[in-house]
Amino acid sequence: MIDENGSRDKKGYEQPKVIVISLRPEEAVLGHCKNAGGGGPGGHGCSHVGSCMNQGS
Amino acid sequence: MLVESASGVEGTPAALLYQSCVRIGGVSLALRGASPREVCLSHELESFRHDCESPNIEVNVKWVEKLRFRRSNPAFDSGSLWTLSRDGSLSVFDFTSPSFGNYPYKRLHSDGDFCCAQLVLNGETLRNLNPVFPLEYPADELLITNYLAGHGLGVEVHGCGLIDAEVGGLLFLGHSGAGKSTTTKLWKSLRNPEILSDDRIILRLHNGELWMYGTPWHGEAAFASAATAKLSRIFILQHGERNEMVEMPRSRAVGEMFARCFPPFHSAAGLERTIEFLNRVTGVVPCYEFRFVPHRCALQAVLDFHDRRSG
Repeated sequence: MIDENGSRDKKGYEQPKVIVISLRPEEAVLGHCKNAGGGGPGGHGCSHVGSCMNQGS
Repeated sequence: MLVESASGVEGTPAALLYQSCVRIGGVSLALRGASPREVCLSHELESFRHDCESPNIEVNVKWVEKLRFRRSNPAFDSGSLWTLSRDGSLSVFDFTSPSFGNYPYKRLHSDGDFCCAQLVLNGETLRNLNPVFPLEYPADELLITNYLAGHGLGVEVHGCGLIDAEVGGLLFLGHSGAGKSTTTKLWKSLRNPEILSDDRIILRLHNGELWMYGTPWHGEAAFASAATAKLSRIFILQHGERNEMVEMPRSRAVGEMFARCFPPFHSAAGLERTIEFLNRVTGVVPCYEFRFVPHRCALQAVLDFHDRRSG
């Protein structure tokens, strides 16, 4: 950004930070059932053909 | 007789006279079979039925008497319903279910680009079931998401998307338990928006704009719509003591979105394209951490925020 005197603002130095972002692999892999009861994604899959044992996403 | 195509996936034989087409996330998929039974769509997919003269993905269905596991080691194990192995350039997905014992109830052979696939149904386990939905979850979702990721066209995210009559498209990403269903129900009861999905949304970029697409793979509130909407921002849900939005730096936004998407973990190229796509998304719209309380005031906070940004 250029100020009224024509000089460019310098952004202060920011030390790099390590940010931890939590992954949930059991949710990120397709194929898990939303509900044990058979609703949601895989509704048919859970109750009809592809019964899920795991709950996820 | 089936014709062997250059891709290694059997091409469309003349006998496959029946076809059903769906369009999900802007990707058209044609399911072809020798009888109506082989192209039957589940209730969820019926809402996404579409005409497609030149489908992006072609899937031929055939029956075999028995399916057994392949001898090769899986390249990827989903831990639940499917495993992936390789056959040359082909990806081979075996789908299993405790209901059907130890053998796959269907197998999906796909070419490397996920443009051409064959779905093989196990007669031993499925023959007596009626109806059978060959494209049934998660085969449909795997085809669409792998196609999108493989071509760098988009990504499926874990979130609820809705179209408010006044505000337009809104997307709230979140892990399980983050408040997607609560948010969906709040908006539905107070503003009656069109809900594209309460669990899974597809994101794509068109002409420098971010668009979201509803999917048939809904959550516990069972909202699913084939509608689309342009997005001006993305919210990532977090439970909080009060309602507040905090804009994320792009690098963190890419990471947080990646943690809430469904990338093809079995494909290095697909993973790379997914991250590249998310990086492009953050260059188009800002991403906010939305700390919220599960109350109607959270909805008002979003409306106020929208007014401030629009005003």
